[in-house]
Amino acid sequence: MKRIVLFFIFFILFIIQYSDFVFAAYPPATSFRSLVVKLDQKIEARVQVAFSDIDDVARDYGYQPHLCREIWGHQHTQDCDDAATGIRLADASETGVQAPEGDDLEDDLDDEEDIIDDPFGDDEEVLETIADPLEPINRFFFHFNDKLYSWVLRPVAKGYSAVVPKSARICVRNFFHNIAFPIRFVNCLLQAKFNSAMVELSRFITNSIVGLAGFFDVATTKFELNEQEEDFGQTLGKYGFGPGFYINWPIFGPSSLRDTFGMAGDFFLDPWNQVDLTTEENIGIYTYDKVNSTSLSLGEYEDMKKAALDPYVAIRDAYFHYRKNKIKE
Amino acid sequence: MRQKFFKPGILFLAITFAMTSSLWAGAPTDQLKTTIDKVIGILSDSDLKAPEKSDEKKQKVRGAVDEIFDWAAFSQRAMAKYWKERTPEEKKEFIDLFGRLLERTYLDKVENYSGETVKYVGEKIDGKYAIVNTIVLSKSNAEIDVNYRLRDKDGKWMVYDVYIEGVSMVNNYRIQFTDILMKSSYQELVKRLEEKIAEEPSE
Repeated sequence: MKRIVLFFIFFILFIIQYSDFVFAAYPPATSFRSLVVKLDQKIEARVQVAFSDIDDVARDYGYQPHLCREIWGHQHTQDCDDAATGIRLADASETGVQAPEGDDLEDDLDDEEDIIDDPFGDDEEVLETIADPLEPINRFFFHFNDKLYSWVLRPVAKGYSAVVPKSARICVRNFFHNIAFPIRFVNCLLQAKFNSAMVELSRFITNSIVGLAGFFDVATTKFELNEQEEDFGQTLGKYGFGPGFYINWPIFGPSSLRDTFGMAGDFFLDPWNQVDLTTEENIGIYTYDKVNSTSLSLGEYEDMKKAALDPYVAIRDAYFHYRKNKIKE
Repeated sequence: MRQKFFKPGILFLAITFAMTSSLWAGAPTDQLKTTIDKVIGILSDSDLKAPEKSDEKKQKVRGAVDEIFDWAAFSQRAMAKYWKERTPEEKKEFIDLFGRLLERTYLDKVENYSGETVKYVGEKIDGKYAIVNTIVLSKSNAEIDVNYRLRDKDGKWMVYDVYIEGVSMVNNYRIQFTDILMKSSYQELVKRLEEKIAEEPSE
């Protein structure tokens, strides 16, 4: 009960602080909002003026103006001369890139500047990725998990999938997903995603009744109500918490400081932890869920490992961007 | 209320979009779709189902993919600032190695094709650059967001990066390459690429 009240308070606070429709419903707030928009426009106009100043100075010094903007914006903390090599206006042919052999390559080198121009690009000198101060420990547990997977989990999942037909395994997966409904529902609410919350609620009711206690995902197959993957880590992300740093947990795998708190939060919402079960029983359920889901995605981890030069770094980066993308949705 | 107001707007947009995209033959989505349709056609071709035809099938897929994937751009972007430091021969060697690694990753999945379909859900063009948003739908109704980044190369749109569920293929490799280059050397990177390509498929 206490927990519900707490979530409710959180929820109200969130609405007050962030939600758009509060602005829409409350006239003084509307005018404040237009004030913010106006201020944004003013500042934008000044920035444009500042940029044209940069252009002028750049031309005086003989550099290409629009590229100077980029370098000024992104790299003025780094070694400017290094960054500015090859963007001179006057003597571009001398300091510019050397002419390579082969027609294809020539093309590409001419394009080097275009990459900086890429409107969708994230081609800053330093790529955005997650901090990893615990790398040695993380790597150790990465190898531990890797061995756990290839020596224990994979053989067990393989044997299991040889005995149990795929359709049955999908039913089991659906059942576990359906049980975890409160996690997704509450986190939808906490993120003020009311449509998604309604979808989740309808899914739960439909799948529990028509889908025979969740073994069949009729909501997706018949009503096109897709699962809304939300968890407390994403909720924290929506509230503005960054990932902190990367943590590779033994057994649980890739996570971050924020998502570890997220896992702890979801732990309290997980119905398996609400019913009276012993620790052994809970571990048993977790293991069975894991074996079952692994049996449905055999080969994916192997493929990833085969494609990567350094699987640890590849997974770390993929985890960071995957979570970031999920939070943005 | 807002919903009612919105729907005719979407319909209108959909109609105009459908018209423009059919008129504008050079649109990135069309070119990408042609290639993806071709690949799916090869994968679901019943004449090539037999295991002994596997190599022929791979060859055909490779041909179709090479038409639209710009391997040189993949290499250049994944190497980022280190690209400039390489000699033309090294660049050529690198494009070949990296292209082979990516191709193998792709082609290994050829045998796993099981009726996935592709939905084209959006397109954004800004000058020479474009994003095409697609959703890959598996038979069990799982949806995967796949976004292609394309660049206009003399009138032909070429793919230079693929984002799967928000994870950029190029940037993922770029971080791995940078990690190796900072800890050791370019020679080491090439060595590891070669080892990776020589690796036996793990069943």
